[in-house]
Amino acid sequence: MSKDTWEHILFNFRIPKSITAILTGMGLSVVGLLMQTLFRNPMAGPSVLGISSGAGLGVALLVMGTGLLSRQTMDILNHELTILIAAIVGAFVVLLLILLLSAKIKNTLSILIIGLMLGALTTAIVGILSYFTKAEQLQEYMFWGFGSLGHLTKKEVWIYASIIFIGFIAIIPLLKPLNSLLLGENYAQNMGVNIKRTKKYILIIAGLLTGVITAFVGPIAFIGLAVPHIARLLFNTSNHKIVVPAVILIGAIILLVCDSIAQLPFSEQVVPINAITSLFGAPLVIWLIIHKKKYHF
Amino acid sequence: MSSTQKNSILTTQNLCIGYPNKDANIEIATGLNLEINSGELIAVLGKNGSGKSTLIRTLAQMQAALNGKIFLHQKDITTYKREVLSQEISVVLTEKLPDNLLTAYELIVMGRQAHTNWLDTLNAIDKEKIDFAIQATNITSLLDKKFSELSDGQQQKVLIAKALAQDTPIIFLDEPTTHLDVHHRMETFLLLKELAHKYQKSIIMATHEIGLSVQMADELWILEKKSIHTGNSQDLIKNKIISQVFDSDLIQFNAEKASFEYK
Repeated sequence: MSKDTWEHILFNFRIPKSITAILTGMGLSVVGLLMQTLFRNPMAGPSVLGISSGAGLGVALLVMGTGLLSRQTMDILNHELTILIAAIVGAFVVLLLILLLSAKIKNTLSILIIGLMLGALTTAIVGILSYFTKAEQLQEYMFWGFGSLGHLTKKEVWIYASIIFIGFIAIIPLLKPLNSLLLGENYAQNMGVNIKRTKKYILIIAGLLTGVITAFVGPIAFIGLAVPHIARLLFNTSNHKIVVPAVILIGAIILLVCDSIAQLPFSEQVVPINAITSLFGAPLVIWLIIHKKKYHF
Repeated sequence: MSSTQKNSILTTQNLCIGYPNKDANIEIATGLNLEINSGELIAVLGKNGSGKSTLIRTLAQMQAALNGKIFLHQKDITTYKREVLSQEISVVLTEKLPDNLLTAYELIVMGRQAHTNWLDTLNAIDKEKIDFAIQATNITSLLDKKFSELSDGQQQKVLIAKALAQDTPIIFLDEPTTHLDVHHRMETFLLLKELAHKYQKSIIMATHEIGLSVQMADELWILEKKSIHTGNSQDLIKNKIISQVFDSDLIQFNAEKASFEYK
């Protein structure tokens, strides 16, 4: 292999892919932490609230729905940018629904269950859609659903990084109320936290991050759920001033490692990233349930 | 104490407490005209369901009053912003804290959130108040332990220390001695009494400990039949209010021993 060739591979494919993995790992882990603290539920995560499925539905409607249209409109609509917009719109529709419901329903556990049901609902709609779709479109959607860190161009990586970092900066003022929420909503309120406003703020950041991440790399399972647990276990604290940076660091490392494994070293094969994260994530969650009688936040 | 001039902090005017309902509001107690002075330990007594917690929650602005007004420093309490109110009123609740990995120290420090900036950094005053809270409750040895691993009595002290660190003139406690043995119940009452008298805190607690309250509290509020009896122990015993409210076919109040016995 000539120098030019590997330089091309390294700078145009491998490095953007690694950066994408780092950004995705950081973003999903932070969203998972936000959800777990807000809902005081160790099983909360971006996919649990149905935000990921909402983004998925947006993409499904676009990819498979356009199959029913004429050839020209299809080419115009089936573009990377439109997929991005569709996913963000889908994520925010679900998020808006949850926001509206959370105004009526105070019980956070109920909101989690509603999130799961919304997820099931969108999966069902996707199922029905796929039944009426041509094989090509279905395959395109299926590939998106596997999750892929490798298809972003350099320019897209820049856009992706900017959005993720804006999200992170927006989290800084949340560190204090997130800590108060560790004591429950009543204590938090007594310490001066505006619960309603804080909840909305957290949900908007979580929705934005999940929508953008899902749009760029597809739904990636278990990172958001597992990384906050690993961070709390390793650093033995719930203090968000420590856990948030810890989660960002660990999330980046874990998805980077998962991506390296998915690349299947010494071979030309690439396994879907989602298969790897699930392969590690699912047993970890089971282990957590068995070994930790009490869930700690 | 009684000779010193009374300094009223919080008063209520025809306060009606309870829960809103579509058809008709569920009134728990009504026509309450109460006064909280600084340096007072007030015990809120009453049978189960008489509205002790509802009263505490309403006064602490954790739920809305159905009717009537609450005045904090002569100003309608509903006009206070949450952030300002958090520097006036702190609470110790019955609810169990969600599981977390916070240490006792981290939890006490959180009391300062009512005063810290948006980044939650501690200044010299914050540290001073935290030290005071730790010393007043005598829990130096617990600071590095995880809150969730402490005994019920220790947890209660840490929560009181958190309320002290919050540095508010008023502290509300909802059944602070529920899970404690008799020694720790007495210890908690003594601590609260000392905090009220020594540091001029107004401490109001809902409790089932009639005997201890009669002995230790400066004032008793006894909820009964949607109304409230207030006064010091001697008066309420003399007027037979305590017997009238709490005596049943099983028990009667012995004024001399300040306790209940089997009939």
